[in-house]
Amino acid sequence: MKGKKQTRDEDLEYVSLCRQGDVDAFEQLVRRHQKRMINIAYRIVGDYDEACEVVQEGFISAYKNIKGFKGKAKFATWLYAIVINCSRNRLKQLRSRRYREGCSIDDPIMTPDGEIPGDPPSSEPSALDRLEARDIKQHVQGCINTLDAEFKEVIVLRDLQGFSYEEISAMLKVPEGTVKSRLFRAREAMRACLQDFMGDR
Amino acid sequence: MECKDIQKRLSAYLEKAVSPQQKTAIDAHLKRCKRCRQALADLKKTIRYVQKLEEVEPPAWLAQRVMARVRAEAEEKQGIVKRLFYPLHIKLPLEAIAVIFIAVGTLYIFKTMQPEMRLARIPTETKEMAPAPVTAAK
Repeated sequence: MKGKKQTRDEDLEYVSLCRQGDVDAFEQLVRRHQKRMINIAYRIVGDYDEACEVVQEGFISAYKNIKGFKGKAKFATWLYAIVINCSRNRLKQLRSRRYREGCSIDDPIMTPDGEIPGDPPSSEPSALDRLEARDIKQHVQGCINTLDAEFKEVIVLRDLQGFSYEEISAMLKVPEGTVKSRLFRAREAMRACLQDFMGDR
Repeated sequence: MECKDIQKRLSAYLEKAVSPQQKTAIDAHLKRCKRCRQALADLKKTIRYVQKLEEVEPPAWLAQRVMARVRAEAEEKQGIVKRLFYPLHIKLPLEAIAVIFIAVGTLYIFKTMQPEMRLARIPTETKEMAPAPVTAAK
């Protein structure tokens, strides 16, 4: 708790320097928050390179709008709300691009396992058992990818980033009750998607 | 509560985000319902799988690229504003001096013109005044 409070205060100091036109102060904020930002964006967008773009966009937008930060919430909360928004928009763009380009039989198919080629893998019963840890992780990310944006966001913010209900509610600008019910439905969907792995592990 | 209601609340139950009454009810139900216990175990596993996803590191160039764009943004903004209003510590005194010059200049011109205006007014005044004494004299 103490540590959290400290970073909050330091953030505010840099924020006010930044408002006075101190660009180097903004660099401190970038260095401090870039890791959280990329991890949120990466898990929502599902692609590392796209996530890098999203994070850049998020920081630039934060810089331009830093006067709009009123200090009601923590600076970090405000900043992460921006990167969530950017991720959401990027995802929409990517989806509509995919839609506009249409699809052919040769296209990879989006499945919980990530993109798999049109040729189906052999369906021996032991195939799942032989999955390596890496594949499991890929599958988990694949499951996250199949969720709707609003469910994806709560899973990423709560189960991966460990934010409190209160913080998530502030970031997504929805009541805590909504966060709770979304989280329940998101986890349900994840459970259904991961069902194959649930057996003895 | 029925299984459906119980399972709906398990997600919050796991995080101790249910009311004490609900917790007691759920605890009691879980003791006798195998299906809901299984659901709870599955939910825990699901969360564990998600949590196993490791963190990624931002690439080294990310902060640099962000800052390059931020600096370009800052300079562009300053360029426009600066030419118009800045630096204030130079422009403001200059403007103040200019205002004083204009004020003094206006006063000076006004003062030098005033006698002429008086002179210009005198003949008309005398002309107008002139007939009056005449009629009075008659």
